[in-house]
Amino acid sequence: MIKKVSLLFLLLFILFSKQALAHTSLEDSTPKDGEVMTEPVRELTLIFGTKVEQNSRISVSNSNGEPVKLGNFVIEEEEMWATFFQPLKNGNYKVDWKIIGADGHPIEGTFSFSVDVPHDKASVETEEGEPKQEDNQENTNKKPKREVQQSNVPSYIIPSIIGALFVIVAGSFLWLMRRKK
Amino acid sequence: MLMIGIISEPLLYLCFSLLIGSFILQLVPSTYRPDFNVPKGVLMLATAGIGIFSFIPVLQVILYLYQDIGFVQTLKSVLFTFEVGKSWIFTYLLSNLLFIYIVWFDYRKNPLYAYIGMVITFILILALGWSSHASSIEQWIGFVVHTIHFLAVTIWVGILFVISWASKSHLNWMKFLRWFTPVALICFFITVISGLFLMTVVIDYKDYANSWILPYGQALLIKHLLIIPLLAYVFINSILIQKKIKNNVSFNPRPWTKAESLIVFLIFSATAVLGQQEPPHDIETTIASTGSSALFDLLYQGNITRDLVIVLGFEFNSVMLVILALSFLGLTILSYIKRAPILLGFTMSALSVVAFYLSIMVSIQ
Repeated sequence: MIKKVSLLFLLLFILFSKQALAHTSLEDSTPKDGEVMTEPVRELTLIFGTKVEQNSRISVSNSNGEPVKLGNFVIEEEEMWATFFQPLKNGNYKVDWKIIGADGHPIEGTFSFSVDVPHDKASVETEEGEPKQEDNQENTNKKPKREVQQSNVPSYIIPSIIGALFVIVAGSFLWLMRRKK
Repeated sequence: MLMIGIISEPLLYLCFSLLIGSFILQLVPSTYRPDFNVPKGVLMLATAGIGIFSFIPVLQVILYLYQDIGFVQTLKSVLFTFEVGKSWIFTYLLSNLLFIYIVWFDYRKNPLYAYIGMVITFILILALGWSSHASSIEQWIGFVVHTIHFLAVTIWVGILFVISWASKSHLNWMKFLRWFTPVALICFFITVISGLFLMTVVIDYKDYANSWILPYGQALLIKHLLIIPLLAYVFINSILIQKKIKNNVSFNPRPWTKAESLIVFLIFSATAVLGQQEPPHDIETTIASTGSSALFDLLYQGNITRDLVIVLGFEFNSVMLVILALSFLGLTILSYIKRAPILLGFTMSALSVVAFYLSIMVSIQ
């Protein structure tokens, strides 16, 4: 009986585990992360691995950090999409999303894309934007440094814990052995 | 707010276990179990507990959101449009029904009453599964597997809890063990396999060790380590105890099942910590958004980077700690053989988890 049940579960497990692997909260988006768009961008679509609850939000900002106004914003099951009032000018854009999944867990994330439409009227702005892009890169480089702040335990702590545990083991062993059944 | 969740979740599991355990044991013929008494009032409290404790996750969402559009507006939108809100309303109404049912129909009077009570509790478990984590990613499979996982736990642990804490004597204990041991084993295997499946929904096997950087992974590691002393207690309470009762009829096995149920409660608590964390579908981005675990930070000797890959390498300290952990496990069993106070046995098993945990943390390169 046990064998059968566990076999059945093992089977179920193998069947389903493959498709369960490698889930990210944001499954797909147009434009994708890091994508360079050569056609005018009027819309933004985000597809998630979970149903997205109302009250979820996205905000888009350009390389100067200024927010880009969104036109329509719709949440439908796993999808969120937004339209822009005007096609995006050439430059780098950052999308911040903050959603509540169907399990009630808030999830946040960021991705970025750039627009590079040839012969764009506003192409002059790209050149302006470029040095700022480097600034951005510097900022991202700084991030790991913040993570390094650590409060490691001093090196003598672990050996002393080991010593103390040994004393406890020996003590309780002796105490137990002296105890009559 | 995080703390409230960590306290309320294990209590919620306890409420479910108490209900399921009492109903099932009532259905078992009285010659196959010790006499037990769970007063109506306790079951009423457990039912009320389900209604209240299951609201905490909903409250957490509301508190996370209310600054944007105000409390009342958020409350309305979370309760009526969010999956967690809707399933809580269902849970709340049904727990009220169960409450009234328990008041009106004493489950001890008629097996049918216990049976119906069990069915209502089962529907409540379904509602809980619906609002759970896995269901939002792999909608149906996650929901089914989570429900199976939770059901197996509540059947096994429910019977264990009720027999340990509410039995009047240890009469019929051998007969009880004869059916409970296989039931518990089947439930245990189902729990482990469905649990591993639920884990792969959240993290890839390859990322298991890497997830220890995150609070989620730490809680998962501790939960898994707690299963080791639990197995020691299962061994004591199902195999060793039979010999003892045969030799000495007056031997009281209940303190040892109580100790086992305490370990189970610790596992419930570790599970609650898991539920409070953001599931790390992608470890690198999760580290960026929630930061690394404080415990990991404290014990890991190297530098934490986002793309840290955990490699285990055993050296002197970790080998020492493994030896200590195994000694503590041995002492747990020895303290049973020597009939030492329960608290000693429990402390030994808790220390074995600490030693196992430290040995793993120390051996991270």
